[in-house]
Amino acid sequence: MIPRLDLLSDSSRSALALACATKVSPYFSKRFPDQAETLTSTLDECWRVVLKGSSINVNWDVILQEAEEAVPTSMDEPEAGPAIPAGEAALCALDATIESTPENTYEAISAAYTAVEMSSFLSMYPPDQDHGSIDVKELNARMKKVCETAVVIEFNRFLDQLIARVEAGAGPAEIRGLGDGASSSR
Amino acid sequence: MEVHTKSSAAKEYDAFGNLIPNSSTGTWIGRLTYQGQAWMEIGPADASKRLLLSPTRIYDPVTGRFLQNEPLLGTRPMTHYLYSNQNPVRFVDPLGLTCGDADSTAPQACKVAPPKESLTDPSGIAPQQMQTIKDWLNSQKGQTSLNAQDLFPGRSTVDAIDFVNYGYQNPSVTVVGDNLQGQLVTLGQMQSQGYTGGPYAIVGGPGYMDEWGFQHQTFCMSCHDPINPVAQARLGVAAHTIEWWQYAPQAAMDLLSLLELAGASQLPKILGMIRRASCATKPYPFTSIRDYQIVWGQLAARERAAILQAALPKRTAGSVTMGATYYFDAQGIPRIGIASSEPGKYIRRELFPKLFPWERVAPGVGDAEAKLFYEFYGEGTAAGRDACNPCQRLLDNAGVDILSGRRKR
Repeated sequence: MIPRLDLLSDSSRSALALACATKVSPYFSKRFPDQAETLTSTLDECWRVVLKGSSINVNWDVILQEAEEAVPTSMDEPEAGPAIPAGEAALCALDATIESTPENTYEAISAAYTAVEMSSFLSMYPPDQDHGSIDVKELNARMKKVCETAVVIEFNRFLDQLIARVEAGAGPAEIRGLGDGASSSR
Repeated sequence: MEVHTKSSAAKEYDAFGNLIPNSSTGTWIGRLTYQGQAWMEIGPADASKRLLLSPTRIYDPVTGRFLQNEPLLGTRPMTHYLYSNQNPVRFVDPLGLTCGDADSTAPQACKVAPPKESLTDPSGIAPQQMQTIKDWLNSQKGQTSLNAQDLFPGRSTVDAIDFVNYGYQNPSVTVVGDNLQGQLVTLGQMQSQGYTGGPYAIVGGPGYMDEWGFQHQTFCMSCHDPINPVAQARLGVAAHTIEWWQYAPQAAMDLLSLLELAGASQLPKILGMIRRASCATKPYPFTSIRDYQIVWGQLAARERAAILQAALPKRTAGSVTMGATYYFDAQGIPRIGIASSEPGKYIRRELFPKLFPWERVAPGVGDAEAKLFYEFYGEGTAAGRDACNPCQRLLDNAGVDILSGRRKR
């Protein structure tokens, strides 16, 4: 994935990261409605920069600090579940906007995927009904089943479409449209 | 403990000298005592333990071993604590010296293995296995870089833990060990069985004796940790290795001679050190295999937690804690359990290449370390970062400490 991302322009990579983070942002806002506004405005600001192609007069330090404060940095709230990786996806997308590296973009995509996958995993194996320990083989089998769920398949399809469009030369505005249009309602 | 004799005319015993209760016939019926020997039975007044007193040593029929080491130690390095070469059906040892030495009243006298004529043919006990080992060693020549500097760049000495961790981090590396059942196995096979190393099987060729008198008919560099033998030979000058070899110099000589065949370097130097060490007596730092396993396991748990934590994505590492614990399962087999502080048993994709099939995953849900402890009652639990506040509370309530640090409140 990273070599493919390396071939893209900076703005395409940032847009890709932002589209993924936007897609999974409902996971975060549902669990943390109070902080959701901060994160949404962060993503909006990032989109503005990417669409404009300039970050003049943008105080990244302040934005970064506010965003980091909005996303819980600990699993002290166990029920947070997919909200945490969804928040991470936004932070990674912010990183990818500030510094558009393949690694930052990949991390944003990965965090977004994690949010979707974890949500599906927890639906299939609710912690309150899934007691005891399992071996790694069983974990692998579970993850395989999770990959076959509609939610994960749909996200993967979205991702494939997104990357295909970016590689075909689609600009940030079109990418944003794809992400917004497919934004998860969960 | 008080000593008392008992009438033994009607007693019946199994092969190792355990009394057969309420039986009318048996292997040794009509004999004076076990195997017809004039040994006294000794034990505490409440009869909770039964031992047999030979003229020179005390014998425990439950373990089939003497409690004292071989009085003629050195002349017969393969006997040590064993009774009758571990084959009391065929052999006897009426004096507790070494079987076959004394005039025997047994149906068949015990045979003592003749002195080794050549160290390059250590035992002859398992020629087929020996050939396997030689083949394996030969196959390693020129194929794999086993130089210490390659394995551990910048390090002047390494120890057993380094090797264990190296094996963990490089599952593709072929190493040979002993599963303590006399079978030659690879590290992967050992670990898939949950075996994480047994401390007392010291280095040896086919047929060697561990510190407890258990006989092993296999090849192993140093069985407390599965090690690539050629690599170890090159690293043999490390103090740690020599220290271990002091406990089984004969076996070490056998092994090194074997390695000589394979063309391992530095052998003259190593052999010299082993020879000098052969008379050394040194108190053993652990009192049981379990003690050693726990010490090793705690280090392994810490290492596993750190490796998993380091594999988390940059942004995730600040919010997710990976934990690992070392525990004994219901069969007493040592294992590693892991958990993430994320809900349920969900583990991040990025960590999958770092997981091993023999590990178990417990639900962490917010406090991986504490949940691991409650799930497995681990002997040593570690977290990839300082413990979170809920963890601290849970651990404090359980009176447990963890190996990693604690977050500032």
